Amino acid sequence: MKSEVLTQATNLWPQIFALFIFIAVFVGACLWIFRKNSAKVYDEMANIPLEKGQKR
Amino acid sequence: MMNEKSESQQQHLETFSYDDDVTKLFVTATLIWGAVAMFLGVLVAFQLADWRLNFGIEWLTFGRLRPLHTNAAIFAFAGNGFFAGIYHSMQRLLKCRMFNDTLGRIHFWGWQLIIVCAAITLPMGLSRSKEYAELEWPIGIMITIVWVVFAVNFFGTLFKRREKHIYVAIWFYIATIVTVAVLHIVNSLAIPVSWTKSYSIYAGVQDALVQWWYGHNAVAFFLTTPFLGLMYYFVPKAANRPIYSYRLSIIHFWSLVFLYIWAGPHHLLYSALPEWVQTLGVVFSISLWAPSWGGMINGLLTIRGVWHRLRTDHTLKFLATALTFYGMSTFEGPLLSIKSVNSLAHFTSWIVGHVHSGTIGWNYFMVAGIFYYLIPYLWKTKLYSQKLGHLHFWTATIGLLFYIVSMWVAGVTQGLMWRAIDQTTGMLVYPNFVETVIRIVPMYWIRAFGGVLVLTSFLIMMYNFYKTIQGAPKKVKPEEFQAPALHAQKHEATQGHRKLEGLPAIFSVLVVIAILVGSAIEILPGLLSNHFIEENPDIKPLTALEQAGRDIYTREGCFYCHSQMIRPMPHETMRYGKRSTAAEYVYDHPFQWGSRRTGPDLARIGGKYPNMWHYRHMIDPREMTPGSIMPVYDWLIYREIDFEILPEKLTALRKVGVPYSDEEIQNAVADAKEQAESVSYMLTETGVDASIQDKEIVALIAYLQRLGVDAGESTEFQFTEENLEAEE
Repeated sequence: MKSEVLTQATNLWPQIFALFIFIAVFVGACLWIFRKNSAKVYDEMANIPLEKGQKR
Repeated sequence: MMNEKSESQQQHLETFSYDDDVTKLFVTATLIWGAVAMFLGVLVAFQLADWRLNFGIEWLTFGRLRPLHTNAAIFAFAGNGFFAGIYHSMQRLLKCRMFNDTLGRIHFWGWQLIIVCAAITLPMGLSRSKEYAELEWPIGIMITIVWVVFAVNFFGTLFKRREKHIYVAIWFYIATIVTVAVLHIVNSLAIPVSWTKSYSIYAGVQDALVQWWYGHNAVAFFLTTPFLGLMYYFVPKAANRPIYSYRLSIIHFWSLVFLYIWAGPHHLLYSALPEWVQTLGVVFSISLWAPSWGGMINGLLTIRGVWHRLRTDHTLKFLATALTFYGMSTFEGPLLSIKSVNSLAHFTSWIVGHVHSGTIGWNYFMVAGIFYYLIPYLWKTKLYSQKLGHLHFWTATIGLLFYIVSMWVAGVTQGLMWRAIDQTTGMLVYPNFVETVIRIVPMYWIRAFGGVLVLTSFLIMMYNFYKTIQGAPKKVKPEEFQAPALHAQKHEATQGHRKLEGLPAIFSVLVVIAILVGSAIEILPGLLSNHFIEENPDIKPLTALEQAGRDIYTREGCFYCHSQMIRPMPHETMRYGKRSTAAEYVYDHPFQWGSRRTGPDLARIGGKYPNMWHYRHMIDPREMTPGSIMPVYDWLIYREIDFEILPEKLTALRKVGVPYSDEEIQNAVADAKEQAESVSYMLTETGVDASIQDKEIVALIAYLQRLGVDAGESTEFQFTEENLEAEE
C-alpha cells in the first residue's frame, strides 16, 4: 500500500486534481454565499445577537 | 421585524429566564485562576533571569512550574473565561435556558477539581512530558468526563432552543467541543504503569506528530475558535450593530476549521519528521493567514461608525485591541512557519514572544473586554471605576509590548549567534552555548518586567471588578423573557446552508469531517506504516536503569529547556554532532524533542563528558559552565531510585512496542543495580560516598550517557583538552 502511494509522488495529475477540488469547493462556496436575494436572510441572522427574546 | 413576528404569534409565547448563576461562577473562577497563571508566569520568567529563584525547592523549579503556568493559563484562565462567555451568549443566541442547571454545576466544579489536581501533581513532577498535555492519565479521564458533561449540556440546549437559526458564534462553539474531544482522546492514549505514571502509546516521530497535531490545535480549538465565537457575539453586542459581513463569517468559519488542523507539523520543521508532512504543514499554515485575517477584519469593521467609543468604552477598547493582537500574531505565525524563517526562529525566545502575543494580546484582552461588559450586566450594576479601567488597559498593553519586543530581540540574537560561522576559519563563532545564553539574560529581565506589568494590570482589573460586584444590589430577581417555541414558529421554506444551520447534528458531523480530512492525511500514514521510518539495527532499547533515568528526565521537565533533535544544518552538526534521524527515536515513549533551547541540545550528549562532570554539574551547574542559568538539582543526590517498579515499567513499555525480552523484564532490578554500581564507580573513585549508587543521579547519568550513543557517534569519552580541564 505504502509503496503504491509513494510511486504516485511524481505523478502530477492527482496533485493538480486535489488543487482543483480545493479551489472549486472554495469558489463554489463563495458563489453560493453571494447568491442573489440572500441579503435578507443574512441580515436576519446577523441581528440575532442584538435580540434576546422580548422582555416580559 | 421581531415585533411583527411576535404579534402574529402572541398566543404561542413561552416565558423563561436565563441561568446566569453558572456564568457568574465561571467569571469568578476565571479571575482567580488568571491571577494564579500570571503570577506563575512572572515567577518562571524571573527564574530564567536568576537561577536562584526556585529557592532550592524542587517543587518550585522551572521544569515543574512551566507546565503549571501553561496549563493554568490555557485551561484554567482561558478555559473558564470562554466557558463563562459561552454559557452567557448561547442562552441568549438560542433564546432558551441551558438544558440542565445541574450539568452546568458539574461542569464547573469538575473543571475546578481538574485544575486543583493539576496544581498539585505538576509541581510533584507527575507529568506525561507532552506540552499542554502533561496531566497524568487519571486526570486525563476526568477531563474527558467533564468535557462530555459540557457537551451534553451544550447540545441539549441546542435541541430545546427557540431560535431557529444557529448563529455563527454557536458554530465556533460546536467546532471547539467536537475537536477538543478528538484531540484530547487521541493524544492522551497511553499505557499506565501506576496511578501516577504512564507511557504514550506512540513513539518518536509518531508521538511528535500526534503531539503537535494536538499542541497546535489546542491553540486553534481551545484558544482561537471559542474566542472567535465570543468575538462574533460580544463585538456586535458592544458596538450595538450587527457583524460587518455575515457572509464573510461563513467563509471564515469553514476555511479556518478546515485549514487549522493541518498546521501542526510546522512545529517540527527540519526535524526527523518525513519531508512531505513538513511541507503540508507549511502550506496550510501560510494558507491560514487568509481566514485569520478575514475574521479579524470582520470584527474590526463591525466597529466602524463607533470608533469614538473606544475612548470611553472599556469593552470595545479591549475587544478592538485583542483583534489587533490577533491579527499580528496570526501574521507572525505563518511567517514563522516558512522554513527559512523557522530555521532561525525555532528553539529561540521568538516563539515564546509569539505565543504570548496570542495568549496575552488575544485571549487575556478578549476575556477582559468581555468581562467589562458581562460583570456590570450580570450583577445589574455599573463599573466601579472608569479610571482604573484605563489604567488596566495601558498597564497591560505596555507590559505586553515589553514582553514581545524583548523576546524578539532575544530570539533573533540567539538564533543568529547559534548559526554564526567564521568566514575564514569555518568554525563556529560562539562554540560555547553558554555565551549565547549570557548575551540574552538582560532580555529575560526585561521580559520579566513586562510580565510584572501584565500581572499588575490583571490585579487592577480584579480590584475594579471586586468593587463593582461588592457595590451591586443584592438579591435581584432574575429577568424573564418571552419567545415563541420553535415548533410553534411558522416554518418558512428553508434550503441550503440555512437548513444546515437548523440541523445541529448534521452540522456537527460536517465539522468533524472537515477536521478529520487533514488529520487523517497527515497522521494515518505514519501510524499505519512503520516503513516511513528507516530502520537502524544499532538502535537498542534503554536498559532498566537508563529508563529509570529517563523517567527522572521527564519528571524534572528537562525537555522544556533542552531539545533532543539535531537539525540538518552545518552549525547544528558542528555544535552537536551528526543530524538526528527518525530511526533513533523508535523506542522513545514519549518523544523528548523539545521546543525551546534555553540550554543546549542533548541528543548526542552521551559520552561527551565523564560521569563526574554530570555529577558536579547537577550539584552546581556554574562550577562546570560559568554563566549557566540552570537551577541546582541537588535532590537527585538524596532521592533513591525506585528499583522495584522497573519490571512493571518495562512491561508497560513492551505493551507499547519496545522489544524487551522476558528475561530483561525479570532481571530488571538486578541489571539496574549492577549498572548503577558501574556508573557510580567513577564517582566513588574520586571521593563521592559509596551510598550514591542507589540515588537518582546515577540513573539520570546513565540515561544521559546513553543519549545518541547507539547512532554511532561519540561513543567513547573523548579526551580532548577541554574535557580534561572540565574534569579537573
